[in-house]
Amino acid sequence: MTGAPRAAPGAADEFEALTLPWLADVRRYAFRLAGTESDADDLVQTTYLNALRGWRTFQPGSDARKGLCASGRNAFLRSRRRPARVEPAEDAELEALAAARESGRGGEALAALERQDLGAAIDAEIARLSDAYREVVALVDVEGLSYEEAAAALEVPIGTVRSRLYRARRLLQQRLIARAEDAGLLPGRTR
Amino acid sequence: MNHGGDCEKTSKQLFAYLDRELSAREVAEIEAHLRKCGKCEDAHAAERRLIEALRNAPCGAPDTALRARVLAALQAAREGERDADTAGGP
Repeated sequence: MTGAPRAAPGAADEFEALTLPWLADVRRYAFRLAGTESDADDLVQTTYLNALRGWRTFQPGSDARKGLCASGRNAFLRSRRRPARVEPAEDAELEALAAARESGRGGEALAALERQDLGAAIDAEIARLSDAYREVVALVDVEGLSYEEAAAALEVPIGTVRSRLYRARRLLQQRLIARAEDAGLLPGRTR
Repeated sequence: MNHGGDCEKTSKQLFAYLDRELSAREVAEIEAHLRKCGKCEDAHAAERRLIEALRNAPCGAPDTALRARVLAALQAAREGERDADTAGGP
């Protein structure tokens, strides 16, 4: 953090009225980026402080959620000590699953988990992903960046974004199927 | 019916197709394949549902403790700024 936020005098209520309705969304984005509850809470606080610092240049009518997500992403990426890497165990899991081609069961698993708490199941499985996979899911699926924008933010080639996103979503799909099976919500696959 | 290499290629491109990240030619190829391959169409539906769930999963009510923490941090930041302005003088 550098320097105190520079808010326009008397604009506090306006800043909070515009940004606090997005607190739950920002928290979810922070959790998906950071992967732990305490890191996510710290990131939310930093996000709001940085957004307050930029408040003077905020244009009326701008998308507050988009601005907050960008603020959170920038804070997260600056705080990262080194570029995220894919864990070898995840690569091995993907290779083992490659032959299964059970994508059709992914839809059944989501439908089954919706009867319980799909949001919690997705949060839990995203938290299990390695940093490299979690980040790209957060940037593209929560913040809504294009592959090109995500590549620029992460400072990796666009092909890396595409590959990581494919693998991350495939892992999530398989793990959500396993979660639904373990909970007895989906018949187990014959092995 | 399995269409061999077309199915494998489609499987690898479905997420990018759903993200609207493919060229017009690639989109046309995938859509032509989906029209004739039930297995890939099933995979397409499942992957679309996954992406929708990732984007739209409910995030619950705002945490009151976190809200209080953020408000306190914002207040402290404003006070720090005012103190700095006062110390700086006219």
